[in-house]
Amino acid sequence: MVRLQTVLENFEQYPFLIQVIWIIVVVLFFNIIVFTFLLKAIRSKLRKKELFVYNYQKIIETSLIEYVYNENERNESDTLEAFFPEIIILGLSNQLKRKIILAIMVKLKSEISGEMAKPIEELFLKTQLFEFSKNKLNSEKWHVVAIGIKTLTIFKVVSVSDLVMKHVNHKRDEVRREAQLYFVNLFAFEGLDFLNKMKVSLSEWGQIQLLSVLNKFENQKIIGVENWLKSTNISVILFVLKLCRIYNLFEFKESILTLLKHKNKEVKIEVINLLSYFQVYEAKDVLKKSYDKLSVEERMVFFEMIEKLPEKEDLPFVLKYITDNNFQIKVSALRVLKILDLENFKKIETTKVDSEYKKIIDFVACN
Amino acid sequence: MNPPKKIVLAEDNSALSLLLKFKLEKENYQLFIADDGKSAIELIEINNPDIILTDIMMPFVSGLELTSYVRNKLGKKTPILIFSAAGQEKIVLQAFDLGANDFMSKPISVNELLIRIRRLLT
Repeated sequence: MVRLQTVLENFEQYPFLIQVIWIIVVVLFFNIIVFTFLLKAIRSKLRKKELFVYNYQKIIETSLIEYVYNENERNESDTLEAFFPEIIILGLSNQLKRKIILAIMVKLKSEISGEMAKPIEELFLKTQLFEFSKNKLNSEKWHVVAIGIKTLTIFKVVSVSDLVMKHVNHKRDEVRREAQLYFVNLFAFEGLDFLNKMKVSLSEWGQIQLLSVLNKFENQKIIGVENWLKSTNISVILFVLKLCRIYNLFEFKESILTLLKHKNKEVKIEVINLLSYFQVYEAKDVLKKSYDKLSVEERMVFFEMIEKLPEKEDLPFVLKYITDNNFQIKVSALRVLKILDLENFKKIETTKVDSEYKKIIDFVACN
Repeated sequence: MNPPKKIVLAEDNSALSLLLKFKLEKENYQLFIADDGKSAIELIEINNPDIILTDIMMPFVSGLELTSYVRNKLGKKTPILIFSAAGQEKIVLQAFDLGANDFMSKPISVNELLIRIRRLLT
């Protein structure tokens, strides 16, 4: 006590600045001690939780696998507890345990198929796990909604399609993607109906994923293509054009031809490419008539089309562009000329032209 | 009765490993489970299995590295069956180049796996 008093008396004699520094040192010292204990407590709590999760996972995994193998020994009249493993049913009322159970089931369900997957689906549908996942669709947090949809997709729950449909125009791309994947995974090509309701853009990655899922299905009957080609959503049209190419939907040729008059440049370019792939010769006449209104990129793609589908009737048109200002168009026009009228091409080759043009002609002659 | 055929299973999904263990042991196979490629190599060296089942994506040592190790370092001709996920077709082809004998795409059907194991062991 006397010592403390002496310390305080000495402290009062120090200059003000030294007093402030001492106060800061003491406060920081106590803070370090407090935070050290706090950190230790948090770490210990986290380790305990980690250990609990690990042990609980092991118990649930064993219980789940036993349940899967005992499928034939259960009766429909059994109570929930008799029908499903008791430890799982009891765990469902606890948030952490429920999360662990669901995570194991999701992991297992996505890795096994056939007869063994059925009891897991049944366990999901007949317990609170279904409601729990379904309720996630109403969450305000986007990642919770996305996880909810993903879980329902894995367990193939078709009854929530109306709820999932509400999320196809969600503000987050991740949620929209999960909703789209839900529909194609569960309803195959019929699931593409969601395209009618798409108001936001369908991302390139989203399109790749959809095509990858659709690739699994044998029944490739696609209904609604004509409507989608009329969509006001450009990304929907572009996606459907990809579908037309992959699944050779030549029967929609007329609808695709009408898109040559579309306002969007990207759409027009894709349409020209697709019609060229389908070898629709009549597209060339439409494009020749509207050539002056086409952008440079569209003209270039059109010339690529003529290169792929050359006809004698194209000659007068092509001759007009063998000296075009655009290099690509000029080369394409010369190539077509070489294919359709070799004599005329050779004539140009021998006439007096500037050295740059001569180089281009020589290049086309050799390739 | 013949002694059980030995299987090394390299799979990092513990629930799936357990499920396969139950099924395969019931079918009179002796199973050694590793949750990564590194432990699988140790199990292969110690137990000299009749067949190896391995996932492609695993911590430390992948299924491809495991296949390469068994074929090139250990010089064993033990049948190897690869588990792959959707979109890993190119990796599966690489695995075949390295010496894998068969593959199954996840989600796997356990009954189909049994048929493939029997076929590989004959």
